[in-house]
Formats: sequence, structure tokens, C-alpha cells
Amino acid sequence: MTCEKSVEITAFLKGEVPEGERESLRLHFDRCAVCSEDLAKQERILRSLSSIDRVEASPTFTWRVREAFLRAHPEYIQPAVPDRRTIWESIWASLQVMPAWVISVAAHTVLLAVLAVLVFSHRWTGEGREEEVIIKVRRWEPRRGLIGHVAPDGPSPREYTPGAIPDPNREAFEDAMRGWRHRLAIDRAHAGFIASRKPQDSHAIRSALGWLARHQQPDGRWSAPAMRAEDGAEVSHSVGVTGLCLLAFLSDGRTSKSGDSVDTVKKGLDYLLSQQKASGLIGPDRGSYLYDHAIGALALLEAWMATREERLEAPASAAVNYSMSSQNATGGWGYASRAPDNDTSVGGWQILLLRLAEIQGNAGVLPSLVQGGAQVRAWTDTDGKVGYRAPKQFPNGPYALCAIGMLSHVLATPSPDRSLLEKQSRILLERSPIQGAESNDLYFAHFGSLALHQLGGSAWTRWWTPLEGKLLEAQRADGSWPEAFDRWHLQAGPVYTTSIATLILETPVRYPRLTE
Amino acid sequence: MHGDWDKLEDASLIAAFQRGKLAAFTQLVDRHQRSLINFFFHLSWDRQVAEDCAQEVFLRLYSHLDGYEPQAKFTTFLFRIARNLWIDRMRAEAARGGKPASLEAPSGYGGERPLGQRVSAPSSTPVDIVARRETQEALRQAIDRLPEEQRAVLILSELEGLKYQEIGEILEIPVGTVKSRMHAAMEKLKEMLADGEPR
Repeated sequence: MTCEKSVEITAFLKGEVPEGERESLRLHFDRCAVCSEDLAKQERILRSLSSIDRVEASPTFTWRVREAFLRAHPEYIQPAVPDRRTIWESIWASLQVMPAWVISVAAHTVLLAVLAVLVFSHRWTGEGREEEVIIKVRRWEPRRGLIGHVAPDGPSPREYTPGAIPDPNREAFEDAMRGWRHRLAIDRAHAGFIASRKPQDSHAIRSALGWLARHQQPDGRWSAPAMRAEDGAEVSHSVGVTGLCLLAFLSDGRTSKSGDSVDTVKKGLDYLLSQQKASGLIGPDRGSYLYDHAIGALALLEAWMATREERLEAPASAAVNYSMSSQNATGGWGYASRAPDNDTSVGGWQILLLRLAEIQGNAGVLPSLVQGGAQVRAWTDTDGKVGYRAPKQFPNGPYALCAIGMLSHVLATPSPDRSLLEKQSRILLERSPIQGAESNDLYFAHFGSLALHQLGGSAWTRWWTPLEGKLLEAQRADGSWPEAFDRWHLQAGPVYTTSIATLILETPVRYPRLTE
Repeated sequence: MHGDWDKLEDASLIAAFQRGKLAAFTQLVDRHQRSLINFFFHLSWDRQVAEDCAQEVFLRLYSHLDGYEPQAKFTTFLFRIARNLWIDRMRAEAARGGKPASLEAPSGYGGERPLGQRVSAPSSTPVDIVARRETQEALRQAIDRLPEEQRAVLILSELEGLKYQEIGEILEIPVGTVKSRMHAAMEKLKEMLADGEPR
């Protein structure tokens, strides 16, 4: 048995019937047994359909689309000029309507300007090769923006000048700088990645961040145990640990402007800002303070890139400049500003900071970055191992250093050496960073994850799948990791353990893959 | 300015995108990715395919912008590109000897029990969890067996929540046709689920 009105049932249920007909249809459906039964059936089907699975986009979807778009439309980076005439056509068209005396004055002015440039540039520069280098370096002068700020009474950013590095390296330096010219355009496409990070659908990360938020001090810092510096004074690494915690929140897309942790992030940033000196240095200048400074600077820079919050721009800029100015004459970084004894681990953080500054459009960091990369490369063995304070020196084993060296190579080189990366990845895969209690090395896991994520492919999968599983397995119900889970816990404390474990879990969404 | 993109209407974002603001494009991707990915997911039941297709739609968007009229709804414009992309994809697949482009032929449905018996309400006991998985599978198969033009209308209406008017604009058919296809789709679903009503 059928009813001619039954064709209206679906539209009725979907609210697609004109208002005027709705009431009469409802009365009919109430009275008509055929329609009433049909309507009930359709209601049940529609209810079932509403429960059907829906999927969420992958966390990196937006970034992947943007990358693909820029690959497909490279011309978009330099949008076409609306006026389709060439410059010469435009000038010719203007000349047609210009009085003769105006043309004459303009031509003489241009001629005088050209003569002046020729005369004065000859006086200012030396001769031969140095002149050429000076001109090239001047082209890399920072644009207005983040790098435009230099702390008023701080040291000037380190700049490459002829003679600052030995002559045999100069050619390699120039080659690297030429390579970066091409890389800059590509990296512009990565600039929005930090701002596009979003909270992950991960209970482990959510609960870890919850634990960190509960352990923040009222002044915004996260505490670390005090350590005795070389001069005997007790120094805290709270700046570094606060930086790590902030990076963990920022990597999950939680900023001082959006997400569920606005107050926590804001207070953490307030603390870092309160610790910054006029020179740009964040934290005290005692002990191994360049570690803390670099991590704190990275947190400020990422926070600024994510939010463009005005109050962060100048401090982040001054912090980046301080890192450049603290680089020593060999291109490396030690525990203290311009300390001559390089420390590969400290250098790794500085290089990460400088590359991120480059990605956001700061070409002014390139000389420092190139020299930092060259220094790490100089300490890299033919088999891929990287020394700690000298080549072939591995006081705590080669693994963490190899991971830092590999990441530094990716970050400080416009075109990384693939065969070197593969050698280094084989070293990293020799030993799991999670071996059990006292042998666990989360610092190795952190840099190993960042480095292998950059390489991608099967090396990354082989590294990541077991590591992620072991980390999740060890996480406590309150979101933290046991303090003794990491070999460095006595020096760094429980907040370090949980913050760095969280950062490791966030690796896949922390930074864009620059090797692609 | 950077943080303000999310406050702009689609039409303003498109205008900014045309002026060379990549962040406006990113905002559009952020805003519409979920519905596009789910549209393709409900057509393919494959998350990877869904993301690939959604990405392709956003890439095609750039070359289609000349055809966008600011007074029109952007979702409609975007889904029209999505719909055409899916047709292209199905034609290409048919040309390679894969799934027929018409999609009229039923998919390989062959469960031990009638579809309707496998459709049940969500609940939480282990037995019910299994039953719920079966429900999802049964619904998927039922949707797959619909003729392609009915399936598209059903997905856009029921799973994407679009109005008949918008669906008509996307598929370039009159609203009356949307209505009749939706009715026909429901009739087919009723038939397929005849031996066991959804509870």
C-alpha cells in the first residue's frame, strides 16, 4: 500500500518543505498509517546516518597543502604586477606625455647620480676580491622585521667580514651563501608552519601538558635544580627548563593567544622576558648559560612566529642577535659568550634557533648559520660521528652528539649531504635511546627524533614507532614521566624529564621537513 | 594582521589570496578542510584518498578563482570543484579498467545477515561495540550501493549538512531534482535495510 504524500516525507524530515505546507503535511502524516510508518523508518535511517564515522584532517594537512600549492605555483611567491606593460613600455608611455624640459632635468639628475656612485664606491672599498665580498655581504643585510631590532646597549650582531675566517674557507663560505639565495625562497613557504600548529588529538600530550601546567611556579617559571657553576656560585637552569616547557605548549598549538593554555604560556613568556638583559641574553651570565639562552630564545621566537604578538618581537630579535654575537671565532659556541671551547650540544640549539629565524625571513643570520654549520662539519668523522669538544671526543657516547650533528647539518646547510645523513641515521639506529631506567637518554631521543624526522623514510619509521611506544608505556597516569626515567634527571630535575619527553612525542608536528 | 585572518569572511579571504596573501589561502584551507575531507571520505571510505582529493581541490581552487563570484557562497563553489574532481577521478579509474564510472553497479556486498539486521544504535557493552562496528559497515555498504547521483545528494545533504538549494547549485541541477533524488535514495536505503530495521 502506498500514499502519494509519502514522497514528501524525506523533505519534511530534512526541513526542506515550505513553511506554509509544513503543518498540513504534519497533520496528514499523523493520520495516515502508511506515511506514519514510513516516516518512522526514515527517521531511524537518518539517525543512523548521523552516527556514521567522520574523520579529522591530519595535523600537517594545511602545511602539506600550502607546500603543494607553492610547488605547483612558484610564480605566486612573486605575484604578477597588475599592469601588464613592461617597465620600459611604461617609461616610454610616460615620456610621450612629459614636457621636454622635465625629461632633460631628469636625464641630467640620473647621469650625476651614476657618476657619484662610481666615484664614491671606488673610494670606500678596497680592491680586488675583498671589494667583491663586501658587496655580496651587504646584499644580505637584514630586512626590516624581526632582525631589525638590536638591543641598544648590546653587542652588534656578528657579521661576516673578509678575513674573519681563514682564506681557504672563504670560497666554501661564498658557495654556501649562494646556495642559501635559492633556499630562502623555498623556506618562505615554511614560515607559516609554526603559526599553523594545532592541538593534537593525543591524550598523552594533553595529560603531559596538564601536568606541566600544574607544576608552573606563580612567577611563570618552571624550576630546575640549582647547579654549581665554575666560579662556585649556584646557578639554576630555570630559563632553559621554562623554555622547554613553553616549546612543548607551543608545539601543540597552544599559545598566549589561543588554545587551552593561554594563561600558562603567557606567564611562562612573562618570566623569560623578565630574565632578559639589555644585551639580549636571557638569564644569568654564569655557568653553561648559552644552553639556557638558546632554549629560551627559541621559545620567544616560536611564540612570536605563532602569534605575531608585538611585545615579543623586539625581545626575540635581541635574543637571536645575542646568539649570533656569542658565536666564537671558529664558528662554534661554548658555554659562555665567545668562549673558545666549542660545545657541539650548545651549538645544536643555537643552530636550531638561527635556522628558525631564517625560515621566518631573517637573511641576516645566514653568515652565522653558515659558519656554525661549517664548524660542525669540521668535527664530523668520515663515518658520520661528531665530536663533543673536539673531533673524535665522545665522553658520554657518540649517539646524542651524532644526532645533534646530523640535525645541525640539515639546518645549517642549504643542500644537506644525503650520504652523510644516511651514515648518521645508521649510527642513530644502532642503539635505542630507551634502554631501561638509568640508561635512558631523552636528550639523545629528542635530537635523534628531530634529525630522523627531517630525513623521513624508513629510517624515521624504524626509529619512531618503537620510541613512541616506549614513551607512552612509561607515562604515568598523571601525565608525567618518572623522574629517574632519564639519565640526566639528577642534574635537570623532573620537569625537564616530562617536558623533553613531551617534546619528543610532538616531533612529527614540531617543524616542517626541510629536506623535502 | 596575521591573527585576524580567522575573523574574515570567505569572500574577503579570497580577495586577499588573489592579492598575493598566502596566509588567506591557509585560512581557507583550515576552515574548509574538514568538510572536504569528509565529503571524499564518505565517497571513498579511504582517509588517504580523502586527504589527497581535498588537497587537489585546494590546488585547483587557484586556477578556478576567476569563476568565483563574491556574492555566491564559497562552500558551494568549493564543493563544485570537489564534485568535478571526483568525476574526473572516477572516469580515470574506469579508463584504467577499475571501478565503473557510473557507479550504478552494486559494490561487492554479501554479508551473512541482511543489512538492516546489522544496523543498531550505539551502546557501550563489548557485544554492542562489535554491533556498532557492524552498523557502520552496513551503512557504508548501503551508501555504496546507491546510484552515484543519489549517493552524492545523500552525502551532501545528510553527512555534510547542506541545504537542497546549495546541493542543487553544486551539482548544477534544479532543487526539485535534488528532492526527488534524496527521496529515491531513502527508498533504496529502506529496501536494503528491509529485513531488519535500524534500532
